[in-house]
Amino acid sequence: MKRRSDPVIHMESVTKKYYVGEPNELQILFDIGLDIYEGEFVSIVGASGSGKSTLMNIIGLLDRQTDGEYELNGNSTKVLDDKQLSRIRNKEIGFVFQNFNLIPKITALKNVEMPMMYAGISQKKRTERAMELIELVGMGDRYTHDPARLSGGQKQRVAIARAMANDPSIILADEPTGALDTKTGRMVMDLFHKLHEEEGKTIVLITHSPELASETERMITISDGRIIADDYKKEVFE
Amino acid sequence: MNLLESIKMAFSSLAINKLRSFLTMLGIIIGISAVITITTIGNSISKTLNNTFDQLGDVKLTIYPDVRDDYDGRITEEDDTLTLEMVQGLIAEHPGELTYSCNELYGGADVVNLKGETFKAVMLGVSGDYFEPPQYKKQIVAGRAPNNADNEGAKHTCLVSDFFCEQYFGSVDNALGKTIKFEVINNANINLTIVGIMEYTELEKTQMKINTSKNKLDVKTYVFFPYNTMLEAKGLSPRETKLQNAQIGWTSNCDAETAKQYIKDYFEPIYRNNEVFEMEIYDSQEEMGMITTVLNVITVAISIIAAISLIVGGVGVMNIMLVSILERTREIGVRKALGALNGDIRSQFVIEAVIICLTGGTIGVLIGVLNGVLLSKVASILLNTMAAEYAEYITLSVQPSIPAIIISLGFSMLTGLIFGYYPAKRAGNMNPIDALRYE
Repeated sequence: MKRRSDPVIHMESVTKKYYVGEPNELQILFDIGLDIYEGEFVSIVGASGSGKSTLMNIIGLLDRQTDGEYELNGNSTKVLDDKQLSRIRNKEIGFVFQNFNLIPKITALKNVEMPMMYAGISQKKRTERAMELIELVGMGDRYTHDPARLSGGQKQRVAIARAMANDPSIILADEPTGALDTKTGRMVMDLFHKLHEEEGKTIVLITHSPELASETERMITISDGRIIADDYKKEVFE
Repeated sequence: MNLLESIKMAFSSLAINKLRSFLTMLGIIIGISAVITITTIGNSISKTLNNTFDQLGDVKLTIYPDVRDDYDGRITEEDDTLTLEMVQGLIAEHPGELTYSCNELYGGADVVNLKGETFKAVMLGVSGDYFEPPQYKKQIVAGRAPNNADNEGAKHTCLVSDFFCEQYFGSVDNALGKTIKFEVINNANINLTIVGIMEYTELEKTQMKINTSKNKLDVKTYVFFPYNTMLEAKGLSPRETKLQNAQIGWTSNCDAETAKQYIKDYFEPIYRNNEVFEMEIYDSQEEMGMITTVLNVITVAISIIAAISLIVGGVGVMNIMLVSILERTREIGVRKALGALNGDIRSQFVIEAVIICLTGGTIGVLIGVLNGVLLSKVASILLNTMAAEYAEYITLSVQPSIPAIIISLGFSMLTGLIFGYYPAKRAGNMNPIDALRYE
């Protein structure tokens, strides 16, 4: 088992409500408790509307919990201001979105460089690192293309390279194969496995597909805003 | 993220939508090019006038008896009473402050040079401080000008031009000390010794060209000699001399305005009972000043129009920035998810707005300067065809106004900052989650 003493992500009694105090108050997440450790490949699975995306947004510091404690790398995120949240998103979290979210009209290389640009890394180092990552995801021959000239699978591979740019503690992938056909979806999943196995990345995969989830070593099932199952795959225990 | 990177990024995002960027700039371009065109023309006109006035070299005040506005009787010579004595009296009242000079044409003279060729000399009797700086602008290259001692002693000395020496001796070198006989038309011939040589400006050289008959050189040149020497040659005494005008200059202890007041105070009692004439003062600088004032008024009016068009242009920029931010909401969300600070997003859009305005401003400046140059060219063509006799007095100088260019660029930058700030702030403050979800 890969458990270490300190989790990368530690959540305790996290809730999320919208329209707090208003008659149409809406609670999305109830009492979420969760520990994710370094090097884990975790999937969060649930039907649409179950609250998994909200959970991902909170993990990714794009949104704040209404209540409860969320620690990232042992640091409480409650007291952080917008600026500090941006810095942490920049350095500690790599996002992979369902719809790729590459910046249009700039090259794949520039897209991969972007998190490093916001981190204040020099142009030369940025380009070097971005080229390495683009090679790693197998897009070495297309780094000058802009996103409009890439296929879905290629876009997602560039997006994964971008997520790796600042060597984050975790990669958060929200339905990364949702917009892809089976074959390219397979390639993207293989890439995640490669990053997990060869680079030792902590990966959180959010999906509605139990099939994809079953590929990961740990599967957290969420339903109606509550964690209803947290299963480790057998071979991991062995 | 540094400034240079933001600027590069702004340029590339403007390049994506070239037509829109250009249309956004149009208001700014029109405003700035109008200002620069007008200021270039205005500046060129005043530079040209300055050049012309400078070359004519007339900085002194000219005083002359003029017919009173309310007099409509017959005019007789006797009432015209400006004498050399009066002028000397004025100077004596303000020693060390005023200088005077007067000159009178003695006549045209034929000069036969060593080769037997003839050319024209225009003989001018000059007195007082005609050659004194600061008002006198001709450059004396050798020897000296006839001075007051020459004048009082009625010495037969003269100042000739470099041009004269070239015509007469072939060069300037050996001319000093030579005595030359001038055969004056309608007046007594006179022998004068060269004591000084002055240099003509290019403009003056062109003025000296005249068309004469074949066996003569087609040039004329001025010869200056003492006023009293001229009077003697004419057989007159200083008291009897009536002057058409006199030039009053001033030393560093005095200025033009004070000099004018002295002149008025001095001549007021003298001309008080003269029904026909009064003393007039002509100041070429004053006319120059009037033209400059008119130009300044025009410039201010155009600047106000430009300011309005900059505001309209700025509102256009703001409008487009708001649209562009809405279009790029997702991009803003992604950038924020990737770690862009509010300030990064804000400065990205402010810089885009500033660059739109500054690019527009620069294009406007270029168009304006080009317009100014073209219009000045047209002006010079008109000058050459319509008024050939004046054209040679005018040296056209095209001079874009540098302060106007700097101020225009400054203002277009300011427009970008002011009208770009609000949309940029809105972009910067977007919630990343809402921005990412925006469809």
